[in-house]
Amino acid sequence: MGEIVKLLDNYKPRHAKPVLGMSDNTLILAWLYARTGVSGFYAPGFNDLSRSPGERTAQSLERVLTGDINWSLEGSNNWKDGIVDAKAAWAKNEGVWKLQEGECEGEYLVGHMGRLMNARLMGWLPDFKNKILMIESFTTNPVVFSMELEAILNLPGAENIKGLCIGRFSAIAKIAQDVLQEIISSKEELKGKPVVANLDFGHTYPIVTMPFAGRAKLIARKDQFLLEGTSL
Amino acid sequence: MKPIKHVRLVSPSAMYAIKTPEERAPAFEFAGKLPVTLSLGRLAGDRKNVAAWNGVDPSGTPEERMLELREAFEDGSVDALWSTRGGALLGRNR
Repeated sequence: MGEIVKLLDNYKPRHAKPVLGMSDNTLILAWLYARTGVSGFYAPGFNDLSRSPGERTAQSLERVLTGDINWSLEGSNNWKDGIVDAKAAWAKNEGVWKLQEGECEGEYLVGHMGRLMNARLMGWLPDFKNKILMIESFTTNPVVFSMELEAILNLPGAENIKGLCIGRFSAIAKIAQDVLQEIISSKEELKGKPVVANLDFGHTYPIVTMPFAGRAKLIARKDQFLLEGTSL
Repeated sequence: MKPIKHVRLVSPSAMYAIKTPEERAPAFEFAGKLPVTLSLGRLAGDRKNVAAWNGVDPSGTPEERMLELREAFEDGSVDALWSTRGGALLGRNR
């Protein structure tokens, strides 16, 4: 593993406090949670605020900073690929992709798919049994995403996750709804479980800030969608 | 949860974590509307690291990045840490 991760492994902060960050910072969030029990926040990196991330991103951050850790994801009207492309403009959002219908409620973890897997393999996270997994991936494509999803679902306990929520992909991933539907349908571990995607977290705007670990409720029906949560 | 009032910016990433003040100005402008006070960690605020960015040592050594994190964690006036960016936390590109 990388250098700073090894250094973190030997450090326990006396004054634990939340960390805000996303992507590879998933590892820091997992380490903090494992070592101190403090849940940080899956939030845009500070530099990611440089490209007009939108009012919803700001409102979500403000809510967390003022002490309200409840969140909900409804599927915003517009999105922007602003982290990848400095010149990207706001465009109409397709809304939530309900790839598999169902309902679930329970503890969740949110993070970059690969780094969540790293944290699990390092022993910083318990197994994923009965968890709702909320994942996103940045530099990916259909083949890589399918392989990485297979890898995370092959971890002990992951075959018993309650549901899967996926953050919106950047356009460079070339993962449209029909492509993702095919990938999800191919995963035995996800049969009969709710799976939704194109959600407002990850490497596109807007970004909803959420506690790294918490409780969530997901209802994904043809005529109904609810995804909300809070900290533990 | 009690409100977060003082946030320390830190740069744990090994990869172009530092932006110049000019590049980062829009982020500060955006964050200026948030109800927090921001302070800069030793790397997040160190302009000389910008000049060093050429794939060599963009944001300090791992030990320096760890020190920045420790300082923020040990500072009782800081309520939360905010990572400047992700990327290559696991990297060996230095």
